[in-house]
Amino acid sequence: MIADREPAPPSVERFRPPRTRLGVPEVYAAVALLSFLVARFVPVLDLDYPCVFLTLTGHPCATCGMTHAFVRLAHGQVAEAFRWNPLGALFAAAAWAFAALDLVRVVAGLSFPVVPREKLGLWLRVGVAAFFANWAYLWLHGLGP
Amino acid sequence: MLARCARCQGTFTTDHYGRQRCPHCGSDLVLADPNAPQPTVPAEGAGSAPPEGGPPLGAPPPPSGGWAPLPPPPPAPGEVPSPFAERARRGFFSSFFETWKLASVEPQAFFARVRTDQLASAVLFGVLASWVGSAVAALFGWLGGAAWMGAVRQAMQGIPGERSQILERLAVAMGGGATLIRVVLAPVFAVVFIFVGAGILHLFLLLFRGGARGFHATLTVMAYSSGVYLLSAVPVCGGVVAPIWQAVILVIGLAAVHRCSMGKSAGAVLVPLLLCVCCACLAGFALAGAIATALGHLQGGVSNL
Repeated sequence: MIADREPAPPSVERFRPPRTRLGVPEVYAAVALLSFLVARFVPVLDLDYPCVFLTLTGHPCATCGMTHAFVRLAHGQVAEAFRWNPLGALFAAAAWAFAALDLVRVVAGLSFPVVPREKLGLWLRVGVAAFFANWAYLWLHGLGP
Repeated sequence: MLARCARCQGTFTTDHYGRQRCPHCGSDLVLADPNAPQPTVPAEGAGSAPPEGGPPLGAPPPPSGGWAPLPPPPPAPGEVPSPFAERARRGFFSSFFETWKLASVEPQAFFARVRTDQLASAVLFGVLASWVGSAVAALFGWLGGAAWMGAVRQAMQGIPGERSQILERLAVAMGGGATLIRVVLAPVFAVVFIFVGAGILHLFLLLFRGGARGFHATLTVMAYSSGVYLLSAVPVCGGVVAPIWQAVILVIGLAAVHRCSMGKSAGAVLVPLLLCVCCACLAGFALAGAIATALGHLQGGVSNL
């Protein structure tokens, strides 16, 4: 005799994006790749537009030296890139690493890692602190190598 | 018991049925009691139940009046696709302009109900509108700029130094080749603008604790609000009006789509925008100073003749 069993409770499944589908992360990876190609092959430093904040106040703005950092890093001049703008060099390295890793993820069919909401807040606070620390460095050190 | 918000899909624990507020996104929701008696079904003809998710966006309001029992309080309105997401059924141009009108003129109602999971349609809408607007603006700029750049070039002959170089670069930037490049690359710039802008907005929303429904919702608002860049095609004032109008839509739309306060969305939109506006104003003053100096030299040259 087979005893009646209670129906199994509905399973709670977390939403997971499809593994190999191209989506929003891939667009950001493409933007990062585009920034690398521009920094590597387009002579953006020849434009030489002066920063208005720097011209008026004599002090660099928070993003001063960002273009130089991208270009120097794209040409493999790591130390010089960090001297121009440390956060800009880190940002460029992170963006290009993200593009490469996302390409690997798509090819390998892996799922995109989900960042927990609590850790996202922590990263945001770290980012804001790094932004102001980088600006303070630019004020104290001055622009350029 | 464990409950799930129909709006943000976040789960939370509660000890009672009925009306309550989601702790994640702040939206009001009704948790139905399974032991409560079922409501009586009204007689046929006395009234018909509304379609799930409410009437489609852009549809005329249902007729009111008539003799019928009062309906139960309506459920929280569900999400419906934008007209542009249904362009295969509605027709491309009619759905495009219907979406443009809803997103630009009625952002509160539109973004409170539009589906946020149809990103391809939203981004396509924003890119197309931006592309058309910037292409027409580039052509107008080329036609109009060719006339007065000749006079500016004459003035540049008397100006030594950096200001002359700035004007020389401006002349190159307004040439035919540069205009063609701008038209061809406009969709790429539009995609970058929408995605990078959405990323910055969402970061600031998270800083203000306002991005409850996730990045897709922010990207949807950013993409549909970029439709106002179609106004860039209007000579002279279009390029000035469009960014201001988009900022207004973003403030209203982000508050509606994330169910957060208008103050949070205004902070997320205006703080980065103020930084950009300050830099743009300073750059504008610098450019205006260079042009004024050039015109001064031109007048001096004319009076010396």
